[in-house]
Amino acid sequence: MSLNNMLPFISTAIMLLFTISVFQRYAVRRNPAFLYWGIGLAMFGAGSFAEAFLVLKWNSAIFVVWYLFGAALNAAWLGHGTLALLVQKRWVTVLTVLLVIGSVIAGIMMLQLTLNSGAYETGVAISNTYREIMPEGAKVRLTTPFFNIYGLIMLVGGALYSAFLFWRKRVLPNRVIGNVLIAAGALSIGFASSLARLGYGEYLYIGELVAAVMMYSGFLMAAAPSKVPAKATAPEKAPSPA
Amino acid sequence: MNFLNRFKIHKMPQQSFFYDRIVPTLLLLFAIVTVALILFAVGILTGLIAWA
Repeated sequence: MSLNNMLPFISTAIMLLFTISVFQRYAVRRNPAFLYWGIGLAMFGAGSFAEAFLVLKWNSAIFVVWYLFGAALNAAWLGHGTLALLVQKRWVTVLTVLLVIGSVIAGIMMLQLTLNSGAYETGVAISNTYREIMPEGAKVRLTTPFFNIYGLIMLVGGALYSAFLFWRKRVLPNRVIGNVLIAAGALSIGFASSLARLGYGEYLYIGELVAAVMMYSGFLMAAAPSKVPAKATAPEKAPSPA
Repeated sequence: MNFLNRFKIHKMPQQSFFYDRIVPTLLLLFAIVTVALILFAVGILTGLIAWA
């Protein structure tokens, strides 16, 4: 197995740790943002695992998992988690309903496809052969730019906005750096996915690994409690005689 | 993890090349790349950019 084909296994392991961390945080705080991030990260991890599997062996169900979760949906759910932190609950609810409906529709479209397994090649990255495996004009492929644009705007835009707010106020540098790392990681996978769209699928694995490492690092840094300086206390006055 | 400890402070240093120059440059660069990627995705959707 080549080094490039080992990368998805490493990405899967990192995303598993990341997903567990985020769901643990949701279990404690019950903030919906952590639930949506957890769902997005689980999808990212499932997509990475499917990629790693498909290098070794063909399986149509695993291919569906790879495209639906790895290529189409995970960016949107990750971005949705960031949206939940920054926007009023009413709008988050509306967009959540739309995202769930869109995800279900994409899933139904994916399950209705007749895949051309004859185009599969063992040892070749699935990002280089998926176009031949999926039927020409598959409608589900038209949905991925919508999910990815939404995810890109929300995840990267939200991270940059948060970083800018803290930077401008000159406070909580861990959150500034953390959000910069998250944005860099998201851009890494966005860039690699764009290259895959243009036919350069060999960069997808390294893009995913960089995204996994940077986003997890950013999460750990942004979530780390910062040391708040102790307030200066005035010297106590000596009690006056009654 | 000791590297992370230097960021566990409440306020940024008053004068810092990293926070005064590097960080805002990165924020601006990432914003430009984000817009470029969005335009690229819109180009694919509208058929202006040929995709494989």
